[in-house]
Amino acid sequence: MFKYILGRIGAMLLTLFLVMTLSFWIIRLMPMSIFENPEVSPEIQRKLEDRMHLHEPMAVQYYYFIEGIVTRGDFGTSVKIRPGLDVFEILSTRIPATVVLNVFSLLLSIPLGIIFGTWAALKRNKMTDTVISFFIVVFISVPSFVFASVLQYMFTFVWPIFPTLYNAQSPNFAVRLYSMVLPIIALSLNPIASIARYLRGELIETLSSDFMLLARTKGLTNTEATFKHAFRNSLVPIANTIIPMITGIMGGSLVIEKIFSVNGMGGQLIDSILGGDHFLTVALLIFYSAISLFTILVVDISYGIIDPRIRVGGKK
Amino acid sequence: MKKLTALCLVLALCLSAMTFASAEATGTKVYKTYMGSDTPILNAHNSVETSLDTPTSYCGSFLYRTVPDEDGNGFHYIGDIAAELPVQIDEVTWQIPIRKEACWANGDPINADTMIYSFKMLLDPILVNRMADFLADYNITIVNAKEYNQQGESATVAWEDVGIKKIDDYTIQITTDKAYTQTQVCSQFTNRATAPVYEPLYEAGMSEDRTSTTYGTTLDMYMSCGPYKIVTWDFDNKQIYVRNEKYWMPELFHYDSVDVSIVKEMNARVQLWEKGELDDLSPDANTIETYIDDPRMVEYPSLTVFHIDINCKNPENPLTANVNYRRAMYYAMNREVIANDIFGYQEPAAWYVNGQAGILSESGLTYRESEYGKAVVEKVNSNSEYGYNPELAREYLAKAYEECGLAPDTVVTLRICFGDSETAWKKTAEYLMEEFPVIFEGKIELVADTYAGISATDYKKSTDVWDFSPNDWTRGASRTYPYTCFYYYLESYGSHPNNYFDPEFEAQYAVCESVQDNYEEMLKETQKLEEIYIDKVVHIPVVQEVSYMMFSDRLVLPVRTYIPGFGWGTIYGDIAE
Repeated sequence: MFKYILGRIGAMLLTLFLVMTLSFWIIRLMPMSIFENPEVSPEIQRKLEDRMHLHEPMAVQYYYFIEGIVTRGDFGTSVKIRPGLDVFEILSTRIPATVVLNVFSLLLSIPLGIIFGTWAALKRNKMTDTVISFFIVVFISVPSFVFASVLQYMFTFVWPIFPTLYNAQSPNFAVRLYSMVLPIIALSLNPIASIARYLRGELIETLSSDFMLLARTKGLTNTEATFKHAFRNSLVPIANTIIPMITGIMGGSLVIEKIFSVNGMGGQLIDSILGGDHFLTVALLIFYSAISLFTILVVDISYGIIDPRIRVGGKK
Repeated sequence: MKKLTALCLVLALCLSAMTFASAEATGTKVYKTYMGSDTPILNAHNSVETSLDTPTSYCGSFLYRTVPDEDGNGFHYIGDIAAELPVQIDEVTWQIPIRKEACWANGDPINADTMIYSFKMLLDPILVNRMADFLADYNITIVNAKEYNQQGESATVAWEDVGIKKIDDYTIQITTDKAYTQTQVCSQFTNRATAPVYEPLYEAGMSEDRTSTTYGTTLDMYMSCGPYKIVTWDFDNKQIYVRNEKYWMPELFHYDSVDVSIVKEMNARVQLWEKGELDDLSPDANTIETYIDDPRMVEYPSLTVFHIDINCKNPENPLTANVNYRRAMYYAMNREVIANDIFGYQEPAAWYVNGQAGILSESGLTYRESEYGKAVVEKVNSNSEYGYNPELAREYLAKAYEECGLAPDTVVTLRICFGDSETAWKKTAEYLMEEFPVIFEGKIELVADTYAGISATDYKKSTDVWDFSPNDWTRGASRTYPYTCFYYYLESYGSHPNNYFDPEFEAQYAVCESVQDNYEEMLKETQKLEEIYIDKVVHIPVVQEVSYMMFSDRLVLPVRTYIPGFGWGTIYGDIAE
């Protein structure tokens, strides 16, 4: 297992390097002038482009980029979004708000998703199941920004219980968290529905399995049989849903963060691409790739933990 | 049940306390405003973003400052860091005395050395600051400033050759390329790029090769010297300014603090406005209908005339370089429909000099209000309402067909390109796609090409296959010299957005330039320039942008109406008790 993990980490690093290289080339090939502005004289624009070696062949530009990383650990500085700031410094200032938002969203959505999924499965084809399934469909099919706007309108304007925008200034964490309640709810609705839907489907299938009949025959109560046998078996497929949510907490939510003025990671990638902020774009792509690769690794390892029958190179 | 009720009550109490706590965070006279996007950097030397105007106006100072007239109908210049208005020594030399009490927010003095260092850094040929031209060559041209700035590492122009000198610890001297008025000199030094920078931090952030500085990238790398100082900068969330106790003219400013929220969503802005949590609101095209009858709504023409650039080098368009084809397109544009129904509550414009042009002239008369500007409008309207005349359009197209040797039944497909997020232009394109085949009886078809992630200029660099490209470039200098709004359409401007150049147009621009010190004469020549522009259809003007604004009842503004070049003067406003 240890060798397997080491091998995977090695492959991850190689993949990251390829992602970095590819994204560098693709971004630089985009037909755009970073410094274009009618108010700035063409001479100054050209000088700035020269400084960034933008008139050199692509291979030379790539050499300078790699040289910066290898010799100085320098991934470059932002030129548009936060000019002059190191790209990873920008990321580090934006990750905390996103992490808080997503952690609380997960703390809300995982238990609620599991409760509603289990409840719907146990009450299969009854009114409870129908109501839960209805809301599952609504929360999955309606985009989260619709809920965010409705929540903002209802609970900050019609009934002004919560502040309209995220309060990042308060030294009191509770105040900051309070101003984040609505974005947390808006962000949680879809995950709650997703988890509930997967779990309901898996549980219904497991509950009708032969081994469940055996468990009941052995004298276990319905609740004991469900939670000791059916529930654990159903967790394997939904690990695919939950674990990416956990590792993706730093990803950010473009629309919800924008609606509530949460200064997190959401929208950074789009802003940097549209703004022609090449170094920041590459750094963000590396960051998101690292999260994705790490997620895949954790999901693969978790299979073996959740279900001991699934082991890589298991005992012969 | 009782437990649940008690729990709910406790929760409600906590929530109320938290709401109270967050509302308490500011002061008594708090001006609450917003920005659609945050300021990327506080270093005014190197950012062209207009969002930098907000922090610079609150916590920056300049040699001169514009303040409202007592009657609220205009504005005038006063010394800010300068002790008095510039003193003319000879035709091209001005001396600017500096206040002895001017200082930074930490008490460090601001003197001639501070200003010289700031200007030297702004023009530094190695740093290559993007705002350098705003000092070197904008309303006035400083001797050798541009040459010094653009020499790179060649070191052919020494700093000593630049027309900026220290006379003594509290006097600097400026030498210009020709004679300018006192107002023009003052206006050059109200620009945000000319605000002083704090040398210790500027140098502390300087890279080893002196090609960049981290000055202004974070709050601790910035020093205020204006009427307010910035105390909170939560990027993309909030900027908070409080009074700078060291500022030397506190009587001009009345807010205790200024609370700037970064609100990207229009719906959120409207909700904050309705809740009284914003003191101003600028409605967008989708919101304006709701407030159009609100007595608080005020409107004013902006610097922008939305227009369509025309390609004259499209290899797939057989009419591409023909002047009558361009005229046909000019007259086929139903500007009233586009301005009112598509852009919404805007003004149709079949001319290009904007509604603010000329307002900063000695007379304060805009070009459009002058007899010369009105003559152009009358001439256009004499044969078409706002330049829309389908019959004339067909006649010109027939001529173009004949001149280009096209058979009368030839169908020409034109391509309009625009960014995929430009909603108004997308709707305009859809409207024209329906209109053109009708107006031109099926001879002209229009197709839309959209692009994403790149600018119009970059898109047009990537291909010649386009015919129309919407644009909204503006030139701030046109407030003083109306003819300069055509600046970007000269062959001499390196990054021109169009590729049509006419010798007569270029020559007339030079004439305007040569008579710019004689305002009456300049207006007369500008009329000729605009007539050539319309006759040759350098591009197609479509809509004069009208900006809308609402202010809360508690905000007391220092002006009666919007004053171009000065604005609403909200920084000098007060909060009614």
